[in-house]
Amino acid sequence: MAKEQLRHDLFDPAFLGRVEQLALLARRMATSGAQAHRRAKKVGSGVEFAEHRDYSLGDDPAQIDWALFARSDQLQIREFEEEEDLSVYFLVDHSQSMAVGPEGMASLLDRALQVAAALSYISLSNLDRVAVVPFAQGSGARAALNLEAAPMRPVRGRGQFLRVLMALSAVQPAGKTAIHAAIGEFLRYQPRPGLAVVLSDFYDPEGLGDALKQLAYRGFEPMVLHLCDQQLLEASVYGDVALVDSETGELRELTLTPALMKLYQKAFGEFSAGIEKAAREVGARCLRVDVSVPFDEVVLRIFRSGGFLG
Amino acid sequence: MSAWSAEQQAWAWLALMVLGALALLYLIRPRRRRVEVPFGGLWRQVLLQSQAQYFGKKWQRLWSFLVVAVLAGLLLAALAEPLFRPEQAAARKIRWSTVIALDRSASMATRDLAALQPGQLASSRLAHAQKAIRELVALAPPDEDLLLLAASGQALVASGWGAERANLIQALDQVEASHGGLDLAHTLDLAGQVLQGRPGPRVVLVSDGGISLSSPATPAVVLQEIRVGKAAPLGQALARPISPTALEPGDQAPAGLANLAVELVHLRPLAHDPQRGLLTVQVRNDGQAPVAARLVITAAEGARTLADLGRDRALQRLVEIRADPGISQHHVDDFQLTQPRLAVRIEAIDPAVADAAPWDDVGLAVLAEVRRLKVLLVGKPNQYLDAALAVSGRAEVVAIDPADYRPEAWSAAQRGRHQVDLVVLDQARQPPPPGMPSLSLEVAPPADSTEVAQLLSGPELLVRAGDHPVVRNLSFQDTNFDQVRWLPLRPGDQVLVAATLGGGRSAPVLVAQEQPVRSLRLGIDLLETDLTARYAWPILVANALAWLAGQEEPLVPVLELGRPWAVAAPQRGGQWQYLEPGQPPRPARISAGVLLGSSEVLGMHVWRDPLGRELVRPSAVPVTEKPAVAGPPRPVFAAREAALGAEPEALGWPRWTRWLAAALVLLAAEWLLYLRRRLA
Repeated sequence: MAKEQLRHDLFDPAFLGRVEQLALLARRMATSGAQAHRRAKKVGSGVEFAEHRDYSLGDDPAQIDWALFARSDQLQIREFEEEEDLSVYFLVDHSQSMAVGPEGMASLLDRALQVAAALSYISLSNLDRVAVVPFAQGSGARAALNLEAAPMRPVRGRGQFLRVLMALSAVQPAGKTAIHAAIGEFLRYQPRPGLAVVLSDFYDPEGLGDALKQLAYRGFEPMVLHLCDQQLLEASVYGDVALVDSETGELRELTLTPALMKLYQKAFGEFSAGIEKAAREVGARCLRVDVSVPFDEVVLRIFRSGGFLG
Repeated sequence: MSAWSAEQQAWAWLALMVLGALALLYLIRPRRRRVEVPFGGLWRQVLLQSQAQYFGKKWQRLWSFLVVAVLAGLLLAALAEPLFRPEQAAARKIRWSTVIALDRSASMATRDLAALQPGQLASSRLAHAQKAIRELVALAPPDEDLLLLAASGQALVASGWGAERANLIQALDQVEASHGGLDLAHTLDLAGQVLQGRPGPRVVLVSDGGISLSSPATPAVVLQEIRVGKAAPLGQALARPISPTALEPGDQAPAGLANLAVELVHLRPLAHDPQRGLLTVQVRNDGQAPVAARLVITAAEGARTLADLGRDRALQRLVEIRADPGISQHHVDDFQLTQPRLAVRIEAIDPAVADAAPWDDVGLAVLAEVRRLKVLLVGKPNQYLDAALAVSGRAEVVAIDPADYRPEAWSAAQRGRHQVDLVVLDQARQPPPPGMPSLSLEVAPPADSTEVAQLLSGPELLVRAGDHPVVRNLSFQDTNFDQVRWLPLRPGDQVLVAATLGGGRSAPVLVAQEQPVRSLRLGIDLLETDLTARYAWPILVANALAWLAGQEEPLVPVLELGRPWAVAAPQRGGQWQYLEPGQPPRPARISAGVLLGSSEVLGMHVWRDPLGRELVRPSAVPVTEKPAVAGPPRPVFAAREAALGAEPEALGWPRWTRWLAAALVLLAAEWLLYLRRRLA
């Protein structure tokens, strides 16, 4: 990985200081009655009783609740809750469309990386496992996941934040958006279930599909951060223009009129509503993030929504 | 590699123009502003929705498509119409035999004012016509036979059939404007003769329109015309004419237009002094403002051409005049008639004043022949008569006694041998020789006379025919005489002078007879009157001699250029020679005492009899239309119009230009719609 390809804005002291403040704020919110540490509850070999279940062939006889057998003459297995560290995956869309943003301001990808960095630091502070998964459709189908740029192995501990930043700063805009393929590819590696934060503009020609359902089916708790640029909803120029798709380069000539812009705004609203609906169907939280909003405000909105700390 | 034919060249040019237009359209095509969007799919969805919602959008696109289609159709029609009109295609298949008749009349030398700038003249109409013919020849199909006629008063074949085009062009370049008018009938007759039996006979008349059609054109010949003048075409106009704006009388002439012309030159010797005379020049100014001009009068003894007369050594006088608009007369008194042939050229003093018509700036005049006459005087010595004959300065007298006079002995051969022009009979009883002009001074009644002489006292002589050359400008008032003879009148006699008899009666005393031979009879006894002491007497004798000799007209008639003419020849036998200005001598055509012919050349026309005596007549100022004011010269032909095989275009704009104009209007409408969308 060449050094000149790293994003230095993620190492900005001011940015890091703001991230630290957000981590403190998150801890304060956790100790104020809210749940402090998210733990994945798994039935296994823990010390806290979870439930009984019928004995089946092959179960360890030592786990049979003999006292219950004595009372009810039924063979029941005692199960205990197994506590383990939460894995947080940041699935960052780094397609070409994410490079768009207001003139002189951060692009969607910049904002996505900043938010991911902040949330990663908070997660690492909570002793969660954090993994950054950039994805985009390159030339081949297998390239949906950028394995070279991201540590697939989740890291734990605040001391690993530098590695996370290194991984995030290596992400560059390239390729097309392919969410469904990327999540499918991601699940093929059988990662530990956990919180999957999808940061994308969701400009996928094939649509979002059942990608979120696949995550939920595999035990993940999806969280959707829909990044967008609200300024694109207001045309700066009218008349005959040639629209160039930033990902495909496709040229589309049209006459831009206020009426057409209203139609576009309406279509974008429906597009966003479709994403929110898909998230709602799997019980995931969905936040629309305007790129013009500072990343810390975004993180606070995430906190307030309770989707990340809850 | 063979050269391309005219049609192939036309197609090549057409293809080049289409390619050029396409390249131009590609270069100036509207460039849309490029806007990068993150997700084109959303816009595609929006556009689909937009088209579904706004039905008018579909119509807008359809309208644009229709406009483009109509544009393409109109452009194709405009480009293809002159080529694919079936009648033209059929006409192209005709193998034409074309006579190009180039009008070289005097009016073709007109240089129409081009830019209406003083001092700036455009090319002459002849130059325009020559250019048009060059284009015509260049674009004619290779198998088309061409013949060039140089047409004026007389049409001449300048280049024959089958000649190479280069030879035709060479002959064309040698054509110069003549000084005469165009005889169209003769030209068409000659064209019809050379076209006889040839396929596709056609005459292309290249003219300025200043022509007269005395007979209809040969019906079997297609007459087409390239017009470089202002008059309406006679046949079908082959191309758009060069049509100058005519300057009509009363119009305000534009600045710089001036055409000064010498219309007529009168040269009249003074009766009492033949060595001096009165020169009258009639000048025409076609402009609307007076012009200060100069008359350059040159004279020469034996000049025949304008170049001879124009030499500096022949300059006789410069007279400054003011030429008012219209026609004005200017007199030069006390003009020394040292040399008989005169040229008067008018020129504006201000060099900035442009003269539009150079051909009419010179007028010619010739003194009447002042050859001495040989007079046979029959009579007793008479000092009064001798003195009058001597004073006239024109008489060489041979006197014989009446007793020796035998009229029958003076036959024609005798006259020719002695070169006697006329006879003067002073109180001779014999008649004049047959066929010889004579002046008879009769006092005593002749033997065969039947009348009675009446003696009158205190009579008065009155001139009865003041315009007769013999008594012109003469007065006999207060003349005293003792006797007159009451002359008996014969058939054909004209009384010139009569004596009043009182009671309203008068007696003829001077009688002239024209036919069969000129004769004069005077009924006054010269010894009994004071008429011989008066100033009128030698003039009367001189006038009588001139009239009898046929030299009575001091204003020598001029010859019309390019028109047939007949000049009365003195009764001299033998073979005459004709000296046309600038040409070697050739035998003259003479019939019944009349010299026949015509000429195109401005100058002095001279006939010489076998004895070397000359008869001179000057050319008249060429008569043609007034010069016109023209705009800048325009090309006579458009590229494809000039094909000889094509049907002639009607006057005005070609029809295909209307298609083109419609296409341009639609194009403009489409552009307006486009700009409206862009600026919305």
